[in-house]
Amino acid sequence: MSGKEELSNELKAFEAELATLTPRPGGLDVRRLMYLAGQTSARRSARAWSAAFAAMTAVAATLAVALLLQPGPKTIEKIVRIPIEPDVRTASAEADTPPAVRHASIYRVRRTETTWLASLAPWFGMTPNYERPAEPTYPELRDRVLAFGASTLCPTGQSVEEPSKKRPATYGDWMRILGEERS
Amino acid sequence: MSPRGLEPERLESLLARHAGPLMLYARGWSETPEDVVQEALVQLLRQPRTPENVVGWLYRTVRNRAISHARSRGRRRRHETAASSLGEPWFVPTNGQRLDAQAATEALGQLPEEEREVVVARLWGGLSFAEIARLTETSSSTAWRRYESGLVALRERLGVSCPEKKNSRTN
Repeated sequence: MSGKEELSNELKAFEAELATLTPRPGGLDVRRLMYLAGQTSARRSARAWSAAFAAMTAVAATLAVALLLQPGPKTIEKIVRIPIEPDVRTASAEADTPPAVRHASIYRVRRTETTWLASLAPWFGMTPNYERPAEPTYPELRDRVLAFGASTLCPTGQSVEEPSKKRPATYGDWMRILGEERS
Repeated sequence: MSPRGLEPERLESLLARHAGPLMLYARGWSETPEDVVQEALVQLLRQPRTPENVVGWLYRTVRNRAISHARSRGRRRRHETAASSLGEPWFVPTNGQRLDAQAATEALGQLPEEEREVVVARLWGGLSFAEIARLTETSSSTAWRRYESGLVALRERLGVSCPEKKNSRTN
């Protein structure tokens, strides 16, 4: 609402006349006010610098903590199977030996154990003079028979089958052997 | 709110334009208007953000502080008593003016509080009626009515002859 238009002309004239009076400014401490204004302005700029400093410090601290807590290089264990060409001499020697005998002998050699008395020998500056072959346990025997057949149980160099007899390889061989036995 | 604070240059122009009217405005309630206005200006300077309407903000702050001062000190008296006790005029006396500064001071001091604050805020403060309505928590029409009746009362007390008034009444 602009009431000025609704004032009468006489009041408008009086209003203009009254407006010529200048209010007394009084005893304001202008110097103090200007000093405060300058101080406030300076404080604002100082505050901006302080805020920037605080922000940069926070970033630096965060980075330092992240660097300290960073986990080391991760170790990944991976099994890589590399095919090895069999040695020709070893392969020919193994081929000559029957598989059951070969495995059984290896098994016996590996299954050796030292008696408790022999284990004390090094303490007295002695050298154990023998190693007793260990007797296989039942599960070992079972696994061996299942894997290589009953001939595994025989001593090294012997076989359940007679060495003279040839094992039939085919059905025809079986029939021929049976025919010979009947006749 | 402005993001930046009040610059010293702006404060200087504010003081040049509004220090006197603010003092006059505060005199309606307080016997120490200098303190009231000074505190209001200091409060303005300490604001983290400058108000959009600085003048309106200043008048509202001066009003609240002046009323608070008067209540806390128990010195709230009728303004005519305060005006007579001050002794010095509220306006700068000048020789060439038709209106006498002392007479205007007394006439203004004798106005009712509601009319006086509207007259001062409008005539010397330059506030719009909408701003005065917000300041005094009334409507714009009420503010205008108070302004008009205040002017009429001042004119009568100052004895200003108004030939147009007679004409208008006869018409």
